[in-house]
Amino acid sequence: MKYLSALLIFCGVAVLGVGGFIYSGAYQIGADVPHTTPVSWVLEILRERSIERAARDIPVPELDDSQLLLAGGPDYNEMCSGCHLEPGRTESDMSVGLYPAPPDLTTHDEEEEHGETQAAARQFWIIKHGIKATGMPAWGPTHDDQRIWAMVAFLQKLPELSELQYQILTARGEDDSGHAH
Amino acid sequence: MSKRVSLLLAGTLMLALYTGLSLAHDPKEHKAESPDCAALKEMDVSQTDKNDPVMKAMLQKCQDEQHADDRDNRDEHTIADSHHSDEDSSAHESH
Repeated sequence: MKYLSALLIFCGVAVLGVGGFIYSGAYQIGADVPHTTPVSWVLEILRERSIERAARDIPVPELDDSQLLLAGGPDYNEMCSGCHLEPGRTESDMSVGLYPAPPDLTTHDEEEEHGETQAAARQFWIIKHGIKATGMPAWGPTHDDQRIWAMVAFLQKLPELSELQYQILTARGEDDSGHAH
Repeated sequence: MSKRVSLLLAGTLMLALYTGLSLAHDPKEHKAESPDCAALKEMDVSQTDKNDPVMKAMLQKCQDEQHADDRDNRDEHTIADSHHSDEDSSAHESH
């Protein structure tokens, strides 16, 4: 009974301490100051586990298709490359200024990390739903699934593309207004 | 009244200029609008896999671009021809 009371008092003090710290405004919330190691760890685990759980049952269509690359390339260029970069470019104002730093998708190979199917499902989910407090928007409300899968197909090839290949695949032709998919 | 309109126009122009400058601070942000198909023509594509989706997509894109250029050229010729025939017919009429 004595131990239980002590434990309850300890928990109460801990909750009050954490609550007081949060309310005090002492935590540095500026994007130019990194999170403390424990906060980084908690947020990363929260993010990765949540995405893994949400994306695990998404059926992945055939993505090795030139038409999907042609549809997804210009969208990537206009919607994503400002943060996630393009071949021949190592940083941008957004990639330097955002915290957490957006992954450089020209070098970051999700397939290596998660396997081909899971990587595609994760990318689809992230593009569609976005990630809270990271700067990654949810494109789902304004883009249908077919258009998002086209971007995922393009992402699968992006780490292998040269600057010329990227330029040709992402340039909108004269007939391509960007809205007909 | 006209002074007010002039002021409004000047203000709009300055705002447009400021917006353009602030959005265009890095020239790299401006993307080329047309695919660089001339560079693709210079590439030795004989060694590449024609079934590779990336190569297929590039060839398709440049083929579409070529068709669009051809169509534009045809349209320009049609317009130029119609101008010529208009001029010819008016010249004949005046004679």
